[in-house]
Amino acid sequence: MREISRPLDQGLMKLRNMINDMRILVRKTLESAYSDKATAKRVREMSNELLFLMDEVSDFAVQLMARYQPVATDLREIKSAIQVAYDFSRIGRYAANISETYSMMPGEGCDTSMLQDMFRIVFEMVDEAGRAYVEKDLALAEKVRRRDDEVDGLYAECIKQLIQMGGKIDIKCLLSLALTLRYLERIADHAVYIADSTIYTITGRK
Amino acid sequence: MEICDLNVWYGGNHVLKNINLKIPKNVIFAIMGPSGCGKSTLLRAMNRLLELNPTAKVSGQVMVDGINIYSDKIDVTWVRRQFGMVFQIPNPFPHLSIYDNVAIGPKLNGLTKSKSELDQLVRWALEKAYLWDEVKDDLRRPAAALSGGQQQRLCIARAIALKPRIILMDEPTANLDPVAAMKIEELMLELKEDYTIVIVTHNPQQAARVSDYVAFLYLGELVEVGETSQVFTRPINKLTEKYVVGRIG
Repeated sequence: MREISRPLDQGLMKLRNMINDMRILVRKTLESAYSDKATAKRVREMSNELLFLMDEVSDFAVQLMARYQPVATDLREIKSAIQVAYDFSRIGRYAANISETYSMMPGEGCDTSMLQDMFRIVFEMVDEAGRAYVEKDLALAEKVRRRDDEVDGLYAECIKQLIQMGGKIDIKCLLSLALTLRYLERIADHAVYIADSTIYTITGRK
Repeated sequence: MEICDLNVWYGGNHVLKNINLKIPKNVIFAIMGPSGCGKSTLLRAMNRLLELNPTAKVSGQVMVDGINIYSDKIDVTWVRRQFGMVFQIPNPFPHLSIYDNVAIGPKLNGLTKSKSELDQLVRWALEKAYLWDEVKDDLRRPAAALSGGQQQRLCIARAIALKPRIILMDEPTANLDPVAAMKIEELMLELKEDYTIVIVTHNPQQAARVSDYVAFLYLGELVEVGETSQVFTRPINKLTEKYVVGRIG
């Protein structure tokens, strides 16, 4: 049986490249937000770039649907690309929020060590979810899904610690830590949504 | 309708292999597959039309409301009366008028008792086929004067005038322009309220648009049957996937 190559294949390839570009940019944005190397302004620019790319992905996906009336895996992949591009743009927006929150933090006496584990896990989840999507790796996507509980547990633990610390630390420091934890927890949710889209693309299951 | 262990041979060529299918009432059931996969043969096996081909041999059962239409006790004329059939190329009787094209079946079968009853039946069938408004002013025109799409709707009117239970359609829009094809598809959706429709199509998009259930045939074998929404979003079989996305044809 000879398989036919189709004009839609080129379009899907372009769509995959667009998503891969977003995946790489989202990693950089997240790294920059957590490190002190980039300013909040620069992270905001990267976040805006992700927003722009998301619009490009969704416009192109609609074009593919209008021109080729895709079905089955093709349709699932295009639907997922729209969803994943949105998730990447939201992660970019939360990264910008983190960066802005950091810039409000008092320079002295605000211990951010409790964020380290949370950030490491969330960063790994985003990285793994992105790779699972572009490489169509079902096992990796399922691993990301499972890690959500880990993040939720850690988030609850950190919030508990902050409540206990209340009154003993600077209010600006307390607020910044709480907000950053919340943003990281939301980013983890979007990583899980990307994993969900990956599983849906590959299997058709939700 | 239920098809059980259906096999068809043309001479030594085994063209349909162990087909088992259940077709619910009042649905549009599409049979799709590439050219030569046996889909038209399957349709013709449903109303024993294959018997007109001396090289064809059929085994298995086709049950309509619990009656096996291949049983020796069944009159083939009765069988064909249960099915209306519409073909790829519109085939009205070209020299007969629009009126007579629809009236001839009921007349020959003695379905009506009077001229006015026949007039009513012709009007009903033409209305049902969405053709009445376009032809009512001159029903005496020859059918050949109609456009391709109108001729196809006339064939549908002719089929339903005989009050069949099931309508079989073999690529009914393959020779029509997109607007005429859309009218036929719209008509099919209307007709399924009263009839079960089985349509053969080589166009998966058409199956996706109109059908409730779809069967995929490949090289004489039934590869997958399912609800259309499932088959076109998450087909179970890899071969079905390749066919619906256009990787094999």
